[in-house]
Amino acid sequence: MKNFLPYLKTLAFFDGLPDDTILGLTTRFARQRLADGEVLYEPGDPKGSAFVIVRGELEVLSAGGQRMAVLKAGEAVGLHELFVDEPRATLIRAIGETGLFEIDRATFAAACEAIEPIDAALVERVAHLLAIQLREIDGVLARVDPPVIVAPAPRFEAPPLPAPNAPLPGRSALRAAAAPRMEALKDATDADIMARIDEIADRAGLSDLDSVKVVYGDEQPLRTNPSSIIRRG
Amino acid sequence: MAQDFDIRGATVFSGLTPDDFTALAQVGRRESYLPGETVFSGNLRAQSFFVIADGGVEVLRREPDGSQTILARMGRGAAFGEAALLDGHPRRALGIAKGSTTCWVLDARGLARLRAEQPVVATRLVANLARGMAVRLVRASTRATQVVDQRRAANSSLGAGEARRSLMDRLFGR
Repeated sequence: MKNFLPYLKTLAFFDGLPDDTILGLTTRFARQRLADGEVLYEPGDPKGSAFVIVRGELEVLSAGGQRMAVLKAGEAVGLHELFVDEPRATLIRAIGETGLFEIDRATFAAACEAIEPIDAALVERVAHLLAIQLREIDGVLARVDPPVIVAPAPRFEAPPLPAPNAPLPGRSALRAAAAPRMEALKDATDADIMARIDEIADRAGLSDLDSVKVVYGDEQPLRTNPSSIIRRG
Repeated sequence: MAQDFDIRGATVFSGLTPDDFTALAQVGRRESYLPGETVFSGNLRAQSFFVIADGGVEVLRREPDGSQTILARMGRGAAFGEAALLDGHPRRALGIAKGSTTCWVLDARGLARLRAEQPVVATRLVANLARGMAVRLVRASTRATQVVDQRRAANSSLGAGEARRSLMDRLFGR
């Protein structure tokens, strides 16, 4: 397999992996070869392995016979089958002579519990590819079958103006307005407090964290903006 | 993970041992949000993974006309952000807290630390994240194939050349 290493490194499935890891992974895989037009699996077939295309192409057909995609060398098919106990839902057929690596469920299940770096690399790679496939299919669905729940555009509503001669809100009123936020933080850890300070400073575009003050006990801060004050018991 | 949050029963953590949770506690954090507060947006925590410990999160997409499409509503125990955490592409949607909400959050830096310090736990967690994505992928793929077949049946009844092109052909230029 060492002779094929330069070629394997060009395949997306092995992209970025060290040579030893690539060679180690190939020892975990069985090899399969399909003739042109040969079916790898079809709807209703029992759950089974996932496959990485080494050479050639595979076409993915819906149950109705519609071509969904053509997968090329380096791409994988059936990765979700490693986890989900459901029969196959699509038909996979070779276009031209096609070589595959097979990842069987037992091998993958063992890798999930193993401590070898090769096993971790396999699990990470499968998870990474699933993330990409999920993002792609979500993108397709958003276009062909968009969600129907639509909320109206949020409207800006200005707070009512105070009466002309009304007194300006005092410190107690400002403190009362900030009470819910303080209540939410009363059991927070120091790490939570620091994270909250970072968040407040980040939102306000502040580069100087002194703009936010943590207050302990009954200490009375010399500040009038309660949103920048975090009070701790 | 703080003791006062009951997220160990979340599906995404199934099969993890008490020692695994101890390791996760070192790399994740809890965050609390007030009702209506942004949980994640384009730049804010867009590549983090969340498990809702309490409350709920509504995932929205801002439309050009200013309206918001609700993509999902999630409650206690739900997990989201696996794909963003694992493939590094930030979400474009917006997450808003529905009511007072608390989440356990793992970002890319925390996952990298877990991989370095507790590789077995990291592999177990990543396998669980992959399992969740696989389930969602099956649902999404099933729906996509249904839509494609329905559109094909509708288009074939029209008989027009353009309409006969498959939906995927038009989407992907294949």
